[in-house]
Amino acid sequence: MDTLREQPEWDEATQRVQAYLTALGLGGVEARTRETLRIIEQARARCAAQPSLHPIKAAMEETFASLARWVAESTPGLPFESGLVTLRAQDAPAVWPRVRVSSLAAPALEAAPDLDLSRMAARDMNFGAFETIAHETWQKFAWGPVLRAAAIWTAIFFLSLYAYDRFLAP
Amino acid sequence: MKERFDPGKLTADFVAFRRATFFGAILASTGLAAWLLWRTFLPEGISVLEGVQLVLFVLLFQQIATGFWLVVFGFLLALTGGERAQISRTIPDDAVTLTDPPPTAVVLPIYNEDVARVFRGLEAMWRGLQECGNSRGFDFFILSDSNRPDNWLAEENAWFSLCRRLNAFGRIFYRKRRVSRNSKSGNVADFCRRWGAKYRYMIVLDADSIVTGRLLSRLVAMMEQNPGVGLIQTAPQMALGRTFFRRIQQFAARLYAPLFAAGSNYWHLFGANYWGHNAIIRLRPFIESCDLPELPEPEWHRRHIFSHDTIEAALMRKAGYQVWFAYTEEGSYEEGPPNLNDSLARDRRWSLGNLQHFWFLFAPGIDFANRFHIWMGVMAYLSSPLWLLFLITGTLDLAIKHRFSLLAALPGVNAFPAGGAVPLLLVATLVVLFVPKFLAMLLALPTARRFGGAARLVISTLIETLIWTLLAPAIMIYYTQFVIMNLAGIPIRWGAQNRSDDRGPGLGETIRRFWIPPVFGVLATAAILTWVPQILPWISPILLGWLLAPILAWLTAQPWLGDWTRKLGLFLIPEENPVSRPAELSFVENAAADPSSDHASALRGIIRAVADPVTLTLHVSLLRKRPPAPAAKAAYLESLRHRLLTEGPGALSQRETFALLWDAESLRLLHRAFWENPADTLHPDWREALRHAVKAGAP
Repeated sequence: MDTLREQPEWDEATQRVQAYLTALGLGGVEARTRETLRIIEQARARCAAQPSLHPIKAAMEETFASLARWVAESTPGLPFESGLVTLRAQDAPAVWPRVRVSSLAAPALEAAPDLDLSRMAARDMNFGAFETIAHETWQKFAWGPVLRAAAIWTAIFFLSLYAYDRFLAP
Repeated sequence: MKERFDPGKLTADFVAFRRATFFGAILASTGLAAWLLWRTFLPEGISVLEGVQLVLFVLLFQQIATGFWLVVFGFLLALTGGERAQISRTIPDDAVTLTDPPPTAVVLPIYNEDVARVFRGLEAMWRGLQECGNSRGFDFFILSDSNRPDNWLAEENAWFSLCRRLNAFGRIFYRKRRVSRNSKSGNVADFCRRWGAKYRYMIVLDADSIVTGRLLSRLVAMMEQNPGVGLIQTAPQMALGRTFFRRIQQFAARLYAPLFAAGSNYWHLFGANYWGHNAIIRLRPFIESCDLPELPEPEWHRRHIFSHDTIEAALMRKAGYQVWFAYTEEGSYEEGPPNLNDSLARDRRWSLGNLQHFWFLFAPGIDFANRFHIWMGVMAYLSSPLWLLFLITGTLDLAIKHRFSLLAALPGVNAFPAGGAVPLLLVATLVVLFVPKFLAMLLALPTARRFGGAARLVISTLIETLIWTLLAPAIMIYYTQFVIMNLAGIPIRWGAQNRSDDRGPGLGETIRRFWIPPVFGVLATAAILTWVPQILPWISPILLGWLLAPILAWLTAQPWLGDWTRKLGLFLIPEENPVSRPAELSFVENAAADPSSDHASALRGIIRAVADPVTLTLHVSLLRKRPPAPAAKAAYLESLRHRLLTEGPGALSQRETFALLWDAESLRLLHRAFWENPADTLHPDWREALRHAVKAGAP
């Protein structure tokens, strides 16, 4: 038996189930309302047997189970998500839950065709003389001594310039 | 009936004659101009500065002379009844029906694009093919590399909605790449490796491409007719522009491009270039020979080729296949960038790609025509720093001469001896720059009604010339910056291209983006007024361009100005005339967005994937089935799920968000947790999503 404290939780559970069925575009208002009430009744029964179970959790578990049953019956052999997408492709949610569409042939819903693999690999490329020059510059050329020498000579140049300006310039 | 053309019957003499006349004309005109400049320098002996100027002048004049002769040869061909040696003439003009269509994949690589626009374009092409009766042989592939969750989910929804509406499941495919390696070329190569063997041809499009069903069919017919052809590039026309920038671009392209294209075909014939989209490719040789090699640069440098197209054409030629340019075929369209800022962002990427092509310039086995394409591509950007250097050295040289001549000359004697070759040189340069525009306008005059009438055609051409003359100096500065950044190895991000022109940027925003050219302008004006005031009139167009750059960039980016000029009948192109516009363009411009494709758009990112059951089920059904994750990964995913629920989506990095989006089990668990928990136990972001869902579900 529900207590007064639990009533807002059942209201929220009812809204939640309605929202979920609406988000999936299932049926019309009347069908959704009927199904929601049925789900809530079952959830209440479960909560009565299992008092620690939260009404929202119970209601949504019932919703998921109900949908899974519908999808499994309608598109046997397909995983739940693929089944539901297949049903959506046939506009089945609009007439849910009255019409079972198991007799309809499922369209090819693959996002891509079967693989037919090819080997696509770059061929060796000879870039000519520039490749050799670049290779020698980057890989073989000893930049360290050159940069050190350049730094030393730059320092000598500026020091000389300063010395000239400071002591020798007229 | 036009005489049919057989590319197999092209003789070596015919090709040699064409190339000798074209390159002979470039060499002769460049040589003449260089000789005139040399004569100007000669009297006092050639200084180092003059030597530098001479070398730069030869390089730069060669480039503009190439453009000039392309148009002249194109003009001459037009006057003599049009080109006979063109790929379009290998099939009848009315060949649009394919009796036994070969398997052809139309591939559309996308990267964070405007989803609605992409799918509208695809639908237009699909409908166009159906109207031609040829949809049977064509499969469409949307190859997504989008790295924003919103884009990914919206693309999936749009794909599903489109397939459902067109009953095209199994014909229009969607593939999201898990690891986006090597940008667009990697995306296309991934398609080739997975499904290339199923198809004989691949038509490569860009996100903004529109190709009419008739042209798609004709491209396949041309390939079937010519087994030795590996690639046919069409000439995409810019269309659907709204901002002033787009409208002047599409007008200029519509007016001048046919002559440039005819001139190009004149010399390269079977050695055409590939522009990366709106082209058909024979898949077997492409897969076997056109994968891009790594560049011989050090490991720390970027080794992948950024711009794939030119090199793929070169590799196709190296493999022994012809590459043609179907430039007279109507029905190939694209949309350009809506403003100068976006145009420069695109050029930043292209500049790196084109400069990288330098490696192939001297590589053995590359066809001469491809070497020239590579050279022109390199010069398209390298010419900017060279022009700037030429301007600086020229001004410096004049300033030095001015100083010495003032010391030496008698009062009243002109310090700038402008006699001799200087005026002739100036006239020659102006002719080379502006005569192509004049010839193109002249050729369009008999059919000027397509451009809004003769008077409007002339006025539009004059304004377009003025605008580009003023924009060119600013573009030169940015291209110079790009070249320097590229040579310095400063990396660039592969950004999505903005193709929307609904709203122009603000003036403040534009000034912040374009402050460098005015600073250049002020400094250069001050320097010239100080040292060589006599050259101010000559150099004023450049200075004015620098000073006005932000204003011009802002003004040209405005849609209202584009709308206004359209109302005045300026910059009209034939595709803006409702009577002559192809149905595919009308469809893209007028079709309303598909409301069913984006029903959950109030929710964003991973919240949408978790909260919206429609999005979730579609997304999970499209993920490849994988074995359960190993323990370490499962623990990692669990920690991500926990953080996502308790701390909200903002707590996860993009990489972490994608880890969850790729994992079907995580999404299922999150979905249940979201819907099964009371609102007051959820993070505020999830509570907000729930509020949206409940509000939408309220009776």
